[in-house]
Amino acid sequence: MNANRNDKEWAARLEAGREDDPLLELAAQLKRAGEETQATPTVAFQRQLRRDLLNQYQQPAARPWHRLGRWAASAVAVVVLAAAVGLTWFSISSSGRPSFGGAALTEPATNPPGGAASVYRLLDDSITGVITETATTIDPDGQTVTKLLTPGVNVEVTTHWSLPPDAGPVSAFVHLLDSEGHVVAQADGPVEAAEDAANPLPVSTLALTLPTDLSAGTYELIGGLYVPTTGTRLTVNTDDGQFTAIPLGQYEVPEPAAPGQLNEAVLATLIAQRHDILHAQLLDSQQDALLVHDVSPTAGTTLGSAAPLEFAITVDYALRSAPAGILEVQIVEMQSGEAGRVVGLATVDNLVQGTGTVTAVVVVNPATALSGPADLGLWLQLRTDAASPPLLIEMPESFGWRYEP
Amino acid sequence: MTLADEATLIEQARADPAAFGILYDRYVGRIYAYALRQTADVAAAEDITATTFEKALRHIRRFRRPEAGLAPWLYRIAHNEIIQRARRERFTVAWGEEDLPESGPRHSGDGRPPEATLLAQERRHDLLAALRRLNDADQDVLTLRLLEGLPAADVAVVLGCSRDNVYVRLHRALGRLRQQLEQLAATEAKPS
Repeated sequence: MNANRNDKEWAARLEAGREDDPLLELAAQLKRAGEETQATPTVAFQRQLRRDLLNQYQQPAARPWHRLGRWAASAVAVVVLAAAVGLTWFSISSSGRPSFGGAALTEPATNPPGGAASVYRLLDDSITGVITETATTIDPDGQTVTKLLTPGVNVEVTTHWSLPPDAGPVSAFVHLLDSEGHVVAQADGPVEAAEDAANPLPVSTLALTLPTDLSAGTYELIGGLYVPTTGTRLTVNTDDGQFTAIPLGQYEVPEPAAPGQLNEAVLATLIAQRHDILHAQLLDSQQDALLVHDVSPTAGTTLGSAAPLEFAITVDYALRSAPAGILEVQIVEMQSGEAGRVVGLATVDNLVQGTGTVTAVVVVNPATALSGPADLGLWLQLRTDAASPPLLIEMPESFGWRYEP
Repeated sequence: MTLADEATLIEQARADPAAFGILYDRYVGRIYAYALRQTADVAAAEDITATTFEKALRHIRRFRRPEAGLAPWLYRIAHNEIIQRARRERFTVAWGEEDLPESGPRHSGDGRPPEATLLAQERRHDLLAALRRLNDADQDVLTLRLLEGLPAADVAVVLGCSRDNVYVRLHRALGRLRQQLEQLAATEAKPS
């Protein structure tokens, strides 16, 4: 830990502008060189780019009118649907009278017989694993809500239903459609009685696995019910009308970030899900990287054994800046959130340039290394050899343990 | 302008072109200077600057950390553009101070540089020449933190590493820069 303290002291001296060692003196010279060689763009270039940018700004500003157009179209569609519903209602309520011969615009005929009792209704839907961004805009709503999907991540779609009393077994489905209507992801499963006493409605919870190669663009999520024995879709009532495929929302997959630059929201989701893609993307960058793949015992657990503790730490690495290296895996005693004393150490030798996965087993003997209850953390260092300064230091904060003898 | 002022401007810039214009005016020179340092090509620097601000404009509604200011984000976009351009065009950066555009007076009032100024220019020339001999990772951290003057926390955002790691990289890169300077001096001292 002395090396770390020295690093911090050196960093503080650098920030203070000290020049009392050769490297700090060199840093100061570079700073001055930076100030003295600051180039400026031509005025013509600055003005032209400014004009170009402000012209581009008008394009998003025009979008609200497109949106208004879509709203108008939606409003017309709602009126048409309302008329259809009215007609249907009229035909049902006027049974015994001569029919107008008009069919409903949707297809209730696919539902099992049972008259009014055969009404299936979507009461609620929710989705997890989606990033929601709200931006203030100048459109009439005053804001735009964008729902972002992350390729390769599981999203969970939960739907609550009202089923007719005489309904047989039904299943729910969700499809994610691309802009051309192709199904890019789907899931289905039975609608079951809810176990939640507070919400006793029949429920379906479907995990939708998004493909890792999902391209940037707009996608639509649809869902509905079908009879599992025949595959026949059922017509479902919603607040917006009757559907055999209910629109559950539009989602966007953002443009992929440039190499080495991960969309922060995507990154957060991936970290939360500890998904392999995060590792793949980081390891694919051109920098050294250390990423914890797995730990045993499970992070966050409390350990109490007086016998030696074995920590198996599996790490994905990318070694780019040196032809070979070693990985030091340390279990450290945490003190006020900072890494303190090293209580266990394992070294993996012979890492070669490129990427790979290694497992280090660190043994900590509580009898000799720990004097009582302690918070333990993980500290990783990538070096070219045992004597060289670290190429990379990582302290993955989400991996820690509590020791309670 | 404080970071809080800038955060307010960023919020406004999501819908107000005038606010984006103020941010553009504030950063266009810095991003251009950074791009020019890295490419030594005025046309490339102008392209990278334009692309950086176009991307910033396109995505500012999704920019999530206005409280941290725009600088790290813009530098990060520019940094990635430079990397992508280098990959596409495989440009090699081999330039010295003489390749930099004029940037303020380098000479004393009589039009002739005094001796001290000449010495300083020579030293600066050597420094920049030595810097260009370093690997890309070393150049990146030294350029961003010392030549561009970005705070270490911002450099960490641009390079996608921790703040502590920025200092580790700086220390190592300065050590290697020193070695390069010594080699340069040894080469120059040899009789031709």
